[in-house]
Amino acid sequence: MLAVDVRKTIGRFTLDLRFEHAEGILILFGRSGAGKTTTLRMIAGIDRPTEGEIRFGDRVMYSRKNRVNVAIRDRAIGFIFQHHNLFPHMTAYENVAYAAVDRSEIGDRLERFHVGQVADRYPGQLSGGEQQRVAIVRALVTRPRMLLMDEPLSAVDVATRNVLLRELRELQRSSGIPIIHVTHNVSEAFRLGDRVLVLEHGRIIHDGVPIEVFHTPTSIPLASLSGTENILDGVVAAHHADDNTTDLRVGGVSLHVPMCREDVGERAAIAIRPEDVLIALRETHDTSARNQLRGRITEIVLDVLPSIIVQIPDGPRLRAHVTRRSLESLSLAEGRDVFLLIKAWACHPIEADTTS
Amino acid sequence: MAQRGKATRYARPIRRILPQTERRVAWLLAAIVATFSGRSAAQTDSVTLTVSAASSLTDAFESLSARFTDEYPQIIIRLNFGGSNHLQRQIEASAGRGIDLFASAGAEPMDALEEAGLIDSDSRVDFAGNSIVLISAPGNPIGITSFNDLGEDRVRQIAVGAANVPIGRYGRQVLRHLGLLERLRDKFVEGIHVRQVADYVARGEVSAALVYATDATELAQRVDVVARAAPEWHEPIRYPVAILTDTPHAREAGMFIAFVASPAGAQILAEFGFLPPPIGRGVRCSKADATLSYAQAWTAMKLSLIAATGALIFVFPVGTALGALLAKRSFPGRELLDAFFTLPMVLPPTVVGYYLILALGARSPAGHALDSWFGVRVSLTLLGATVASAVIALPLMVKSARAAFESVDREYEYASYTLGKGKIETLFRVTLPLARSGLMAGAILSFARAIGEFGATFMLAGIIPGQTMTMPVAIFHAFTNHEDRTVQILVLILTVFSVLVIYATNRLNARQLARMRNRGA
Repeated sequence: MLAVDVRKTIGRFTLDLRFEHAEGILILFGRSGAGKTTTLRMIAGIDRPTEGEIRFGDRVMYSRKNRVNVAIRDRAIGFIFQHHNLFPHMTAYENVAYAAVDRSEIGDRLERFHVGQVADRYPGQLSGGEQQRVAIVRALVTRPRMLLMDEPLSAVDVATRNVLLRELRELQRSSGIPIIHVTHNVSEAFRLGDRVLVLEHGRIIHDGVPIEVFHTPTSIPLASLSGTENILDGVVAAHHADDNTTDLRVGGVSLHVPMCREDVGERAAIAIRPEDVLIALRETHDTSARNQLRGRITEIVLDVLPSIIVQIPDGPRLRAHVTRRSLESLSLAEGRDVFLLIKAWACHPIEADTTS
Repeated sequence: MAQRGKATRYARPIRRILPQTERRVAWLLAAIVATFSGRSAAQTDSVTLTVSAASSLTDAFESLSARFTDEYPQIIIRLNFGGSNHLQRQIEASAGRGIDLFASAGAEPMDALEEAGLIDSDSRVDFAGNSIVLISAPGNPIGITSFNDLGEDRVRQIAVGAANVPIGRYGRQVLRHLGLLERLRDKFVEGIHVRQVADYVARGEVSAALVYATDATELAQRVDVVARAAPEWHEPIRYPVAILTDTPHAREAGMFIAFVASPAGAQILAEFGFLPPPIGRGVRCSKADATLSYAQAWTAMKLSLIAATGALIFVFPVGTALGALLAKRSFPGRELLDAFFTLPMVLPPTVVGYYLILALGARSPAGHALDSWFGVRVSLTLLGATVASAVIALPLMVKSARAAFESVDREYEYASYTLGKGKIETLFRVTLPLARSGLMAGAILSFARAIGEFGATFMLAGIIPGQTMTMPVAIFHAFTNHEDRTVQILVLILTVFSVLVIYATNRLNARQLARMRNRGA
């Protein structure tokens, strides 16, 4: 059970956090510069707080008052860095062997993480995904009490990222090691986290389950953080095998989405990219879009990428990107009623395995 | 008209560059300089004679020229002292220009110039003679009573002139006559001119030296004369003086020679201990000692390798450790420490040599302690050459090591700590291997610097053929010896070596940078 209660001042920036974590995957989510990485490094012992206390179980790792600061090497906490993970002068195998107590299990572990066949390669010869896998094996081999991951998937391509996300969840389930995972990527946070801490300007502005954070943001900062994707949480109403689609009830509306794994009656979630949402002034049925939702414009955001926020009555709130010209030619304004056209295939199931 | 135009053309940019006060100061300085360097009307008929004279003539000639100028105020004498053969080479190199008179110790340098047509044979005159004495440190601590005592074990080193310097030749002739030459060769410490030879004894670095009687007189307080060589033990020592053929001041030069050869001049010379010039031409002794053979060049290379390797054995671990300390730990005074260890690289090598003599010379507390307690001599030994090289090379290693360690990303070290490894293990298994290329470059650079070290080595270890004469020193020695082929060989070796060093270090440094740019993950 990790208990963190710290403050850190760096120049004009102050970090002030209080939280605990016992099991599962905790996501530290926020913009760059919010303090996520610093928090992680303080827990590991790489950076030192200005004051406060960090405890693991009944063992104090850091306490300003009692002048305790346990060295990094004695904290038994594994760390996966964003870059500079594996030692470039050692092969994958040697990297793991460097950390291992028992050399005999190295081969097995590498195999289990699908990097057995590249064990003799140097990090420079491995792909991003392979490097992170080896790094995870190396960290686990020291039997850490907790695993800290600092945006480990940010340098990895989307396809590999999806695979790794799945494997990470598996890892946590099978090993039971508590994990704290830092990311600024919404879908990553959503898919991985059992719990999400949202950091902004060095403070926790929200602590809850992912759905709360992303689906129904309770504050404007939260919404702007997570508003890049429309994440909708609903219940499976029916599957259509002939069509390969599923009816998903989100609030009071029904959406046609690609067939998902969950059974009828189970919860499922989808994400819709704002650029995939078409806007029409009138209801029209001569389109291929399977979803047509009527709603009212609640906000027009004039950004580099302008967008409108539309509230579906008794349904979700969606963001749609639109060009300036369209804004003008359609005379879109707050309070106006519009129709949102969304293709079934523009709804991306979140929990499912997407490999493309 | 054109002159004025030029002046105004320069005035404008000057006005732009220098603000007012500075300009005024600059004009004032220019005026002062002009006053002192210009020739006023009253001085248009003054003549400056430049006289190259053997170093053993230093005090005598200073006195002679002062008296000469008293009598002839419009003739100013400018004196240029040095080893006779070195002066001879200077004259040969400049084809006699810039020098008006040459006075050498010994006939050979003068003969060579006469053969080359650079001096006026008719003006040549022998104006003094000299004798050879054996000197020791004041109080004669080792208790030498004769030349034969030089063979005893308690006499460890004897300073003599280099083989081609007149005093070196005379000294060897004396010893050969006494049958001591071969036996004593290993004890020789060579000086490039007689003043340096005498200085070794005066500073207590060597037990004894063979110098001119006139030098012993000069250094009366600082050396003891132990024995005198009989005149027949060596070729007659004659000091010829002659006018250079190309001098524009032949008349004034002749006046100076006349003065030197006059009874007044002879009296001054006698005051300094010179003898009257010997009669006749005397026997020319063989020049067998004068050659620096290829064998000695080979020995010089071996000595260089030993000294540089010895230096590297010390410099590499110490430099790496210091570099690691400076790179990894932040502490108050860190940059001061860095500056302190960089100092020997920036100080002129002879300055470093001076400090080394102060610290480790025969008379220094440390040098004396090492000698009496452990029998270890630093000055005038190969150990001294190694120490000098090490001191000069250390800053290079420290700087290279610091840069190499700083180029290793901290994150790798943190990663190692999170895996449960301590600082020492991380240093040796992660940081060091990742810094390897940079450290190798540093080692090669330090080695090269050690091989090329001359100034401090020359001062601390001197020229002892076969013992401390490393390659750069050997080049200097062979050059003054007219051993041009040997010079060329050594120069070629060192040039090729240096080019290889640059190539290797560049490659290694590039590799160090490239490796660090290749992130691990």
